[in-house]
Amino acid sequence: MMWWVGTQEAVSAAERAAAARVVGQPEFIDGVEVAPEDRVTQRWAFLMPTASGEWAIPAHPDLKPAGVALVAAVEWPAEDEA
Amino acid sequence: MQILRGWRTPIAGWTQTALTKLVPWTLEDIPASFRSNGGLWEAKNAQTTADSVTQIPDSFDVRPMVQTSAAYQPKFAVVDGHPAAVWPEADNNVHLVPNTGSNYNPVFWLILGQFSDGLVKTFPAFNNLISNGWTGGVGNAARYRARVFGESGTGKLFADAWATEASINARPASADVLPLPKSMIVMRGAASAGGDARYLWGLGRSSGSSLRGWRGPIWAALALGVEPPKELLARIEGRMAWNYGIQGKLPLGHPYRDVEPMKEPE
Repeated sequence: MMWWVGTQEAVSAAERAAAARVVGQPEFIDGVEVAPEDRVTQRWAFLMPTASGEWAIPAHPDLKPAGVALVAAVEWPAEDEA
Repeated sequence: MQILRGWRTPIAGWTQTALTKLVPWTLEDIPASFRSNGGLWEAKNAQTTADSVTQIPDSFDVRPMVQTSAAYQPKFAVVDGHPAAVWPEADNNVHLVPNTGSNYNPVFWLILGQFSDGLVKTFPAFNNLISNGWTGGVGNAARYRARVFGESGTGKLFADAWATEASINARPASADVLPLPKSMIVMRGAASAGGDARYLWGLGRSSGSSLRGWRGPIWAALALGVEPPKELLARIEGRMAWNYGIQGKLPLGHPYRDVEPMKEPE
């Protein structure tokens, strides 16, 4: 899994670009397309903070947005659990 | 002659005219008193994009399992002959969860699922099967009790979680769950687990950036707010097993290993 990492503004812009690819695409139940108002997909991903204070989202495989780094691993803030 | 199905032994003395043509007992026949604080989600009913699951309707018609973010939607695929929501074979945050405000408080879960390829003997991470999204409270134990997950590096469920043991294919409950090929996974926990948890139980890891999602397919999930008694549990296990072709994995002597659960027509 690849990630886009950068400033909040850059990652937000990358997220909007990816969302433009996935929002509004047809959705189906048992092969029958649902009405546009019944589609569920609303975004590409939520932004998540990294350990270094940057932001990250999963990378869309078909896009190369400016201003974000494409990385294979992200250092996340420590979680208080196993 | 009508065939009386669903009985394990012939009933002496019955005449042909007394026999009734039975119909399948289905999971929708679970009494309403058990359904509250629960739900029934089967991937065969999923709403999908070209390749991903966006939501699975609740067959009890209360709380669909939803994922509005494309990057966190499980894939949709036919696995072992049945439609499934499939979690990636890598660290992930993929999950399905009811909409905010659809809180519920189950005590019983049955997941028809598989971990990874069904052969893996140890969890590669603290992979979450179910979680209620709660990250508050003080101390690890409180947080653990908001989910059920594998213990990284072992084949066991993590101790001190909402459920620390599971019954696999109607066998006695155990912490040892791997390897886990296509199976029924029954877990039980306290309705009040997790302190002030939001009780928004979902499939996979529904909180945080932990990348501790499930791996592999989930075909169906059933949650109940009341523990089913023995006969109802056997019917549930039998119906789920027959619907998904794993009745042969039920223990010898299970009342529905050789016959489907049936009922009188209404």
